[in-house]
Amino acid sequence: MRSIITTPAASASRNSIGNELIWDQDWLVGCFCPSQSGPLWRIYFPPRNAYNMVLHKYGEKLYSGLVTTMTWHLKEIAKSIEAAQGGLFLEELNRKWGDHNKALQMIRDILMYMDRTFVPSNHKTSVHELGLNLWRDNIIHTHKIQTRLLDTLLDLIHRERKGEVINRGLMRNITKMLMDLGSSVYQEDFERPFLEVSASFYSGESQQFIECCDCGDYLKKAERRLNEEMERVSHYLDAKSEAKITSVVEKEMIANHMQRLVHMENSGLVNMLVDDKYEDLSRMYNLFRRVPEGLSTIRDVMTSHLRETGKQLVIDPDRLRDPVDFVQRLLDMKDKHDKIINVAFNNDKTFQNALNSSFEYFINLNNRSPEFISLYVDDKLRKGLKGVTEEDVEVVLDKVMMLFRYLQEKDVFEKYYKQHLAKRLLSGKTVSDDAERSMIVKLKTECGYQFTSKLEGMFTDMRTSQDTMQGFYASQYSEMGDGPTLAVQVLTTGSWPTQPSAPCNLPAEILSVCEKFRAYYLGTHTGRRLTWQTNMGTADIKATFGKGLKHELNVSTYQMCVLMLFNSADCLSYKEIEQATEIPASDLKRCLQSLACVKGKNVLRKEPMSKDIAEDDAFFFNDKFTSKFIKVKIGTVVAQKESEPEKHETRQRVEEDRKPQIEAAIVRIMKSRRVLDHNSIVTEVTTQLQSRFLPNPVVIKKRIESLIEREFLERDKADRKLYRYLA
Amino acid sequence: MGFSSPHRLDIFEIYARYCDILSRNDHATSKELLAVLSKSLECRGQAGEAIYNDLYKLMSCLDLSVDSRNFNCFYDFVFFFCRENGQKNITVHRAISAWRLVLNGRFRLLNQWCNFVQEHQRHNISEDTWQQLLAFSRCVNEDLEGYDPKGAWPVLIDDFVEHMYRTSHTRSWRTQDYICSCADMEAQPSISNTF
Repeated sequence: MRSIITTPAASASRNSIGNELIWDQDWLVGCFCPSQSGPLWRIYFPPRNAYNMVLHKYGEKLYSGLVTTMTWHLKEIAKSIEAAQGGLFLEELNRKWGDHNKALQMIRDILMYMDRTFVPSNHKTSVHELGLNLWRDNIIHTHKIQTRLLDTLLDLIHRERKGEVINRGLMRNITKMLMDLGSSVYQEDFERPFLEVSASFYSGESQQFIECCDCGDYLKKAERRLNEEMERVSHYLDAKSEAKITSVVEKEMIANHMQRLVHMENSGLVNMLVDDKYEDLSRMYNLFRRVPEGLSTIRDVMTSHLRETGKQLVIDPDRLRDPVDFVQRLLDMKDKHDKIINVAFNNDKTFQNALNSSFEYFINLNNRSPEFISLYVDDKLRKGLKGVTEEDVEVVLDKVMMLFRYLQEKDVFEKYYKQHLAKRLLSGKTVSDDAERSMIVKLKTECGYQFTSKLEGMFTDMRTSQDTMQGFYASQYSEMGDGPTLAVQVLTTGSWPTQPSAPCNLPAEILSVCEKFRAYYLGTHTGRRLTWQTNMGTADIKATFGKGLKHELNVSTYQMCVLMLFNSADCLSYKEIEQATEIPASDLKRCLQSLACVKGKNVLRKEPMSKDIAEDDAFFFNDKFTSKFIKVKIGTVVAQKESEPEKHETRQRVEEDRKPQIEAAIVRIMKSRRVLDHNSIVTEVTTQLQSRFLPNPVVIKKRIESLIEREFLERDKADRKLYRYLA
Repeated sequence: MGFSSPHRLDIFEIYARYCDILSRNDHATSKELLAVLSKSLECRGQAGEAIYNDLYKLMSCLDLSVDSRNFNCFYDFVFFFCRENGQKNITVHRAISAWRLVLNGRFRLLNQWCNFVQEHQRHNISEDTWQQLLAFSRCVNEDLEGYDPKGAWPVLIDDFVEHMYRTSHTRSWRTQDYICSCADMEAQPSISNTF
């Protein structure tokens, strides 16, 4: 027996549904007609009816009725959109879309019960989504509308790119519609073609720009385009499109033309660097940063430009004539590019490194760089820093230290610095003791105690000598009379760059004071040995010329010895002077030259008159000497820079000094490693020593051979590339 | 000790003792024994050219073709034998004469080498350089193929190779002219190989 259990309510509803079970599509049409307001259709088809239909298993009928009606209706709408003329097309589409959304909202409300129960249990698409899908299939994806829509959108964007004003709000609504229909609809129906068209647009435009613009203008245009695209996205495209469209612009406008841009004649990167075009450089940096290899392209060009100009600078023979100017130019170049990197390149670390490595590269191309940098400091510490504040002194010294860091041959710098410092100290030419010390401290922090210990020793000697002289005069006070005053600086052997030279014959007056001092000094310091460095001293002598003109002459010790001879003679030949003084020939010639051949300082007269000193010249006391100064300083004709043979000698001394350092490094390494192959030794020695100099691999090899010979090392019997340490 | 016996040691005996000492594993003692042996060599009072006759005599009696270890030992012995007055190194003159004698037919660049050393080396030849030349002679051919600039060769050998490159460079220019005139294009690549 089949029993139907029904509730009274249910049966009552069935009855009431009976006459309405026929699906009436009119109510739905009503929904789509915005002129009819909500309450009206509620009369036609109150939600209760839908509820009842679903409850009584007519859900399927209700659902399929909805699909059919909506489809039919949308086809009608499609026709009206298609019929819209020209520019009205988008507006019509937009209006219909608005209506459709409203209708969809209502239908969803009415069919809420179906949406909640029938749709999930039967795996159907929800009403809202169904509405969107049907819109997509019947409107957007119909052949006529699809292409027309795309063309219209792309055309509008193109017009906007060309400078026209378009209705962005409408664009916004349309793209929003596409996004609402699903991201794939937006991407397939709009974004992909949009990107393609953009690519070809920018490819063409960039081609045109690059032909007629200079680099700076081009970059400005590219930047503007990029900003426009970003603005476009923010106004009427999906935010996710931003990365895609910018990458299109980046690729077409920047990446594709990068090489051509940086190398552009008369306006490329090098010109910008030369002319300090911070704005253009900064723009280039920010644009190139967006594309792969962009920054490395800038960096490479900058590096090769730096290396080239730096190289030109350091090997230019004209520059070598003036060491101070040479270093000043290097500093200016560094400042200039520091500023560029700071202002335009975002202080990029990799750019700083490129700058540093370039400087390191070309500074070391000229093996006189260490000497010149030391000469620059010498110049600054002698006179250049007069009247400069303490902070400014520090700035200058810090800059010098920065160049110093680039030097591979720091030991050569040390050698020269020592020589120059010695000259400064002994001639009393240092302007500021503080600045001198500050420089030493900087060198010490940079290279360690060993590097500066001798330099500091020189300062100590200077102080001690002062005390010694005070002691000497205190003890000799009664016996001194009005003989010459002696100021002795006692220099510790080894700390100073003294050249062993035989002392010349001092005048008797001086000699006696010297002997007194010797006796005094050795009396207080037993076991020491004093040697007079007559090649390094100076003297102040008073001279009376014709008509009783008195002058005080500031001369070197050698010059003093020569001049004193003229106390007892009016005329002396070169040979006689040489014999009497025993000054080495080259020094004597220079000293006579400065006494007799320099205008305004010619206290001696030479016969025959000429620029150079010959061995058969004769010298006279110049009675007619006049000068507007009471004190006359007679310099020695010396080259400030080293002469070729001197340079060669210093070089050799440096090389000799390096040998034990290299050997010590090898032994240190081998002591701890016991067995090591040749190339590893070379590498390790180089790392150990590079803070002072860059050892030459051949020299290292020679040192290894020497150590093998002296049986510190031996070659491994089986593998000849291995060395063993012999304890 | 037997080494100090008054009778004059002949070279065979010295060589036998030398090999014997070297075959010991104890480094320190063998060094001492070698020193003693070298003392007795001094007593022997070798005169200039006579040593080459001795070496030649020894060389012709030894079977040096069998294996290279035999020759190694002999080669090292030559250096030992050529030393004078207990010096560590031997003079360029002696080294060259000895090389010409013992490396004859064993080192394709022997002639060039000897000329180079004669011309460019002022200092004496160290034991390391002596020994390394044998290794060098074995690993390079006439074209210096097989030479590795990073191969830890003594500086003298590096200099020699550089010298050879330089001279072969100038020579190959001449060869190139010759080849061009023959229009033998196939030989062209081989020129660049010599660089």
